[in-house]
Amino acid sequence: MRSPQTPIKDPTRMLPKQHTAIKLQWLGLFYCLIATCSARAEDLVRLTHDSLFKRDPVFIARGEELVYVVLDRPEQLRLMRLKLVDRTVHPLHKDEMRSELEPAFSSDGRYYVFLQNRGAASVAMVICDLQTNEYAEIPPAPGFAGMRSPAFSPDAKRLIYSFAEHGRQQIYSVNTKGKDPKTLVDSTGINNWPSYSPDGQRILFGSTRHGNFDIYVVNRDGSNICRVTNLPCQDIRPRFSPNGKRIAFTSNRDGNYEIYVMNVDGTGLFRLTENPEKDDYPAWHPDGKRLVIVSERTGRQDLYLVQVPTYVP
Amino acid sequence: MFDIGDFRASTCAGLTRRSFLKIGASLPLAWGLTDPVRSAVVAETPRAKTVLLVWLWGAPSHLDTFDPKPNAPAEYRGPFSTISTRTPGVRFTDLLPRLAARSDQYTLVRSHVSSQPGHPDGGTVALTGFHEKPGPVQPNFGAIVAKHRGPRANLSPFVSVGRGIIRDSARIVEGYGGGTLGKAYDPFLVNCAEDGTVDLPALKLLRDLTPDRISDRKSLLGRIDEARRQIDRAKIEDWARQYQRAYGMLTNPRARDAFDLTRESQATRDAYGYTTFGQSALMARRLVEAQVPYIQLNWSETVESITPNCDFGWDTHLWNFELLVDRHCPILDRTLPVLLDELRERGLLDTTLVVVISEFGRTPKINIRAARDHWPQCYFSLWAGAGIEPGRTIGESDRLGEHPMTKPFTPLMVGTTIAELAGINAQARSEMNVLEGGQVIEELL
Repeated sequence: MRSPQTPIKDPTRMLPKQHTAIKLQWLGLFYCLIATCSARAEDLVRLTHDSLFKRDPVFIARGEELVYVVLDRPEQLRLMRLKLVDRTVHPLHKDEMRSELEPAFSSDGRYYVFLQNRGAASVAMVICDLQTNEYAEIPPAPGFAGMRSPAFSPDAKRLIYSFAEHGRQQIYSVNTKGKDPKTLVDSTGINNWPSYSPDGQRILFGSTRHGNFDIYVVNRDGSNICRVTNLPCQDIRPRFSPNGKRIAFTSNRDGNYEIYVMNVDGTGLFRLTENPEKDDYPAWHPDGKRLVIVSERTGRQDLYLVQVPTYVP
Repeated sequence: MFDIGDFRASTCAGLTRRSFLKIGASLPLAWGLTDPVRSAVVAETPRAKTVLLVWLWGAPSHLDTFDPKPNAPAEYRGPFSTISTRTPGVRFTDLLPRLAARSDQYTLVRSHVSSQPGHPDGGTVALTGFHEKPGPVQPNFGAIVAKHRGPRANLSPFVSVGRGIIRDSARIVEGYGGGTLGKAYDPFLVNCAEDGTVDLPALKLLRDLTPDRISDRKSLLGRIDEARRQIDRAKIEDWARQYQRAYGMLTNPRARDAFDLTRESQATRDAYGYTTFGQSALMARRLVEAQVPYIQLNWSETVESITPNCDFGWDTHLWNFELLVDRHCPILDRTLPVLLDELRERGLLDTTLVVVISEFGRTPKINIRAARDHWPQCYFSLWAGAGIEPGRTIGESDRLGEHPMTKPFTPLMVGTTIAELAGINAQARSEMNVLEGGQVIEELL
């Protein structure tokens, strides 16, 4: 844990800051929060040890297991399943040779969805029904095209995702058969990483509609868009906590990628990780007290569990 | 650790061990060749004893990295913010904080142009200065340096580090090797895995052979009969050339050491990062120390970023902005600064020319899939070492990043400048019949 007086070792942090005025305004409070809330190295529990490039972890099975993506071969992103109790890891799709990524699971455990690389810059979305052992898919559109970041509604009746066309990347929803598409968020720029609030009434997402990636919340019908973050940096991959009161996300606002947590209205912001390398892909444990993240430490990328302080200013 | 695996030859040629050795001995090997051209050209001491070309295969977006346009319309500028650098008035995107903090260590060129919008052809143009067609294919800049420098006692004069001969999903880049100078000047391939495992494809014939065992000639010869049964006669000359190179290197302790990343401290290996590019960059630094004249460090084997059986190059027709955040820029911004730092700290940068470049840039206007396509009309490069004054920006693109506003620099000019800094002057180039019509980028010198 770094106090405000500790010399900054990371050269990236010595870069001139662009937003001095904004930062100075919050500096005192910010450093107090770091001292209170940042995760120390000893607070981290390392879950994997293969050091390979990873992304997209999600908890399943009431938090007893994880599914994540690993660069298994230099040419293939593979879905892996990890049991927390004994840390055993197995491929989710044993014989699959195509890259698969961005898995999401319905809260009732019946469905899961993932992206599958079918051709040159061509990606399909596959929805699996574990109850019927059937699957539906949204095939790639012609040319370079692919869906992004699917997520289920809490009632497991629909899922949302983003898709780029006409120079913009919008947020859509479909039913679990991949049918009945509806546009939920339509704006200039890139809208990505959508997810429902636990009560299903709001959608959290990232968007570049005002320039860089910031975090927004919108009602499930697309009305009442609220901007939650507003800094000229990249605030990405927001995720509601299980009780819907907090948001975990990744940001490079302090020079490199760290994990931050804030209240849904943007207050109570604090930096959870303190690492000169990259921390990314936060995903809440169902207990709401922990996050799994992909953390790069000494050049190795692995999954870590990190405690989230309950203190909210 | 070395991993010397299988050779994928298919048919039996029926050659004996003796005949194989005879063929091998009769080849005009690059190392042993007495080159009349080289003998005729007495080069001055070159500013660059070693050239390290960092090949960002697939073509990164110039707007999203080293030439941002924050005041361009939204359909051009992209989502990234800009950050200041150590070079007054020069800004990069916020994806590259460590490289921004080291902009005083290199010179940025923002006004490159190419004439070829497709990858394999564009790669050949960028690496040779000339189009593939009409042939013959001209030599890679590395082959030119290799021929000029001539035989090396230990190591091949042209080494390509990465994951094999660069290619797209359909075919290899014709300009990867010797071209008109002949296959004797093809690069010696060194493959690095993300954990630092090193694989020399030329030795894949020799199953289970370790560096220690390969130093034993009897052990080596004992495997030749097995080898001859696996190799296609039509490929024997090329294979024998590569094989002899590899054998020569691995039976020399000093050369063998150069390929052994386990000799590095854990902290050093960590610093480069456990990615193929990271560990390949560390290998490249070791080859600089070993005074290899020309090293090409490849970002990837294939250009494509999201394509089956491709290893995530910079060709981001889809998900450009997310991929740059997720993977490409974090890896580049981790590894390249460490490489530059190490070269400088070890006193190698004064005599090493580092060029970071790709085949072209990407469309300034965002495409229908909210990404960027190919754009040969404007792109960037970085130049460090070999006496090039660092901390400068040469050339300027227009307000949208579509075209150079200043003198455009072509791939032929890049190759000519590399050659000049490597001690291959106009007379030598003429006598080698290479880089015809090329001009030096005087602004760099």
